[in-house]
Amino acid sequence: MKAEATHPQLEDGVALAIYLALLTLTAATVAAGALHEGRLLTVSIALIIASVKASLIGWYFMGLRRERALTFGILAVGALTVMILLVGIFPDLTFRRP
Amino acid sequence: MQASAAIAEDSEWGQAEIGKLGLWLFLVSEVMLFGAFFASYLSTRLGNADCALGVTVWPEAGHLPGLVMATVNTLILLTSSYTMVRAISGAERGDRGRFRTNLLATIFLGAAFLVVKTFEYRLKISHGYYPGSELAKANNGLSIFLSYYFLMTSLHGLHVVAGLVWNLVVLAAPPELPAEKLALKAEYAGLYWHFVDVVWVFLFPLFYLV
Repeated sequence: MKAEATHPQLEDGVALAIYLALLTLTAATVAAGALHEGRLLTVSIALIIASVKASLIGWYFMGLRRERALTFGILAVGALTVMILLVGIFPDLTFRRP
Repeated sequence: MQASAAIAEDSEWGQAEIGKLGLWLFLVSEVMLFGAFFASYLSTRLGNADCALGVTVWPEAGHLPGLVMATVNTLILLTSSYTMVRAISGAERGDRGRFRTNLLATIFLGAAFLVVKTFEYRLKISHGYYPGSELAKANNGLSIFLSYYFLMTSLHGLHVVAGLVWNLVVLAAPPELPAEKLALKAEYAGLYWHFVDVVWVFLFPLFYLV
């Protein structure tokens, strides 16, 4: 029996729209980097845009929108570990000697 | 009754899905690897006035050309992710021509990323921006920043190389391979390639813009 081709998991139009959105967000990241409105704001904007871009890539290009709950559970373990690493280091910053 | 339903549900796990789950587990280990470096980098820059987060650490000389190269590399990687998606959809449709053309474009773009990165490293080194240089010895903050910069961007570069090798292996798949199997191979390679892109999405602002 001849193997049949499967239906594409991401339509061409959607893929192109996501790609264009990623390019637009890259332009926004560079523009945000040129802002001199304060450290915290600049860093926050850059990280928020990066998170949105990563989410778009993950959700559409990596096909997370079609994954089972178990995959999200596995990813949550990774995200939690990174959060523990990040939060765990902060006391060291707070209590460091001047 | 519930147990038998659960078993029936378990049996829905095909070989392809089990393979993908294994790949996701591997990617999570990569998230932890890069996450540890990102956490260390962020805390170092938050706690060090010499290279405080929110202030561009790069000295003026050579910063703009370096930023342009990094921006070009961002566009290259994003475009390669898009061509990878098109390659996978080509494989899924059984359109070998579309699959090969787009996968070749992905490989070309990945190689272009490494070439631009090499030129960027040359630029940095020509200005003395490397750990252990006289300039770095005179500026602790810059020295620390440069150590992280070379460590994390070269680690990412190694992942790009690994992704290229993986893509080449998929490209070399025999023509008699059924479309479904080719699509699965392409999807596995694509997952890894997109992950490499995601890492760069965070490296770019944190090392060039803030």
